[in-house]
Amino acid sequence: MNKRSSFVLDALRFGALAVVLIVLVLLPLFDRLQTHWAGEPVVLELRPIDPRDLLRGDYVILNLALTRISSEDLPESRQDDLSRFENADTLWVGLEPQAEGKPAKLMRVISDRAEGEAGLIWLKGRVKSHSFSSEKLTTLGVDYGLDAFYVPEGKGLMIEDLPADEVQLVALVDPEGDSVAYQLLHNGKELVKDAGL
Amino acid sequence: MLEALYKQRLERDLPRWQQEGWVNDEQARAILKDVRERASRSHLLPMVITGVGLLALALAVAAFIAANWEVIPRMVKLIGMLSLLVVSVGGAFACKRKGWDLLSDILCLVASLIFFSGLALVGQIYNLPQDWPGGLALGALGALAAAFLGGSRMALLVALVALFTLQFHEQPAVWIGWLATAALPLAIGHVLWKPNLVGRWFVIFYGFALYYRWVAQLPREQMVFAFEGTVLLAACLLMVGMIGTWWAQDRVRWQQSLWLSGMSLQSAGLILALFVLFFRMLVVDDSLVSEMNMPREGLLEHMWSYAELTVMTPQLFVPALIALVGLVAGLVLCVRGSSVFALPTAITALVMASVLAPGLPFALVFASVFSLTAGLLVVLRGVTQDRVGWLLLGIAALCGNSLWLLYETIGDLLGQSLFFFICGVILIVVGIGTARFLRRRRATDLAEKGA
Repeated sequence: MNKRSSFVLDALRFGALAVVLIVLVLLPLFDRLQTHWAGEPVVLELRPIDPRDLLRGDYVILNLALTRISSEDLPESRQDDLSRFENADTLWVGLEPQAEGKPAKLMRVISDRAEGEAGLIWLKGRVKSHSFSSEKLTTLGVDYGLDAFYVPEGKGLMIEDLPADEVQLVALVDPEGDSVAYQLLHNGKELVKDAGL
Repeated sequence: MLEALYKQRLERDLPRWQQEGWVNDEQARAILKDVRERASRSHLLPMVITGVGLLALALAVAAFIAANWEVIPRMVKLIGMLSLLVVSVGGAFACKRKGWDLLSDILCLVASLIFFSGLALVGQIYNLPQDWPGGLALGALGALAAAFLGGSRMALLVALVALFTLQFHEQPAVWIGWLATAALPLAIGHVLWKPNLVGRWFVIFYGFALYYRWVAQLPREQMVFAFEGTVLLAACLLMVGMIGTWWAQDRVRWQQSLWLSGMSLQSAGLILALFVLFFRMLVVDDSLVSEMNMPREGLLEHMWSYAELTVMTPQLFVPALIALVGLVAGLVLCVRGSSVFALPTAITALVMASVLAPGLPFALVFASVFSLTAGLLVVLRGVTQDRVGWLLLGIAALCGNSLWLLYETIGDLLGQSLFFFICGVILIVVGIGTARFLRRRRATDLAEKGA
């Protein structure tokens, strides 16, 4: 192989490497942009947690009320929805948006997105734990991937001092159920927002 | 380090060779000059210092990203990180062109680390859902790209560490499972292409992790197969390693890397084999026998039950098939006169036979004999192959086994008598066999010299 063709070959190899690395880094960002474009906002309730645990370093831990779903959280006709789920199953929770920035209401839990009726927002999650408290009552621990909201240093300290039950999260949920954290609200007023690039 | 040892050895041998008249003074000086130049690593010092500096820079970038400094807009952070990625890859290219392969390798490592930091940065500043399996898999994919496109040994290590960690996480996306599986043959190909000891052992550990993850997918009641799986894995490593070294003999290309890989596989196989044989001696009451209601008495029935279970369980069948094919190949090679393969074949046969020990009468005695014999065979293998590591491994196994057996039999004179009797017989047989082997080898060497 002569010197010139060896140079071209090396240049192609390392050029391809740079392109591959850049594309792979940006790949998760494209997913997020897609959810931002196609997603509908839904207000989610945060469970009161120890304020010392609310902020770790430079991000706010999100402890969604929806991460623990009991049969009694569902309308009476839908209370059997949870019994068919096992650990690691994918599920979609049907949420009904409420007026005046109140947290969305849980209406149904389904295992197939195609079963979901229009009019509800379907948030995708994964079953992390599964327990029977009594014969009829089932509790599921669900992970939606919405577990942290990154904030600039300093701003988090202010959020830490707020009563946790007054803080809500606005998530954007696309038609497939994929979601991203969008806004943190304090009694309906915006604390931090994550938009655009 | 190996070059320095080789230099010391040559400096001892060359005067004798000069006295014998095999090498003249001029040739001896030329050989010593060449070896001293290769053994001296002082010219690498500036490169190593620069490399450490570059790694410190990569860590500085990671810490800076973790600080989530608000003064810089996130778009600027993103562009800055991508620019650093391009600069490190460009630097690796420039070093490669200048012939500074080590520095090019280090810069590929830096690019991989910046790439990992970049994934974390994108997740952090754009509030992406936490996804450890996805992040590790993407990171491994980038590091694999750096390993292959940049020809980097260090980037391969980064990829293997990420993939190894991934084995302890759930893998919800199908592509992650495919990537983790495909990475093993790719990594094997890479260490054959760019031989290095650390890389080979990382690949072996990654192979273990993949295999045990596969075993962990068995239903809970079949988890007892983990021991049988380990036995077959040890046999597999020994046989594949042995065939690798045999295959390397007649090859011009890839000879060194094939041979080195074969030796590393054999080392891993020997460690695992001695471990399972020791474990079998400790727990001779077979887990499978109890759990699966297999017949405890009668070797044939016991063997049949194992064969049936092995065929029904892919996690056992695949390594069993590879090990059996290797065992047959080893026997054929021995029959054709390649006595060098007799010891690994014998150790493999012993390891595989250990599974059947519970079906034998006096199971504990047989398990102990298997374990001690394997220790001795490993010592012999170390002696005949001039491998100090194997020699020490065999001695450690013999000491461990003997101490445990003495501890178990102390106070029971009949047991002690049986133990020392078997030990004595085995040692005498092995001693006679070794003496014969060494005499035959010396005679062959003399005949070759005469010719």
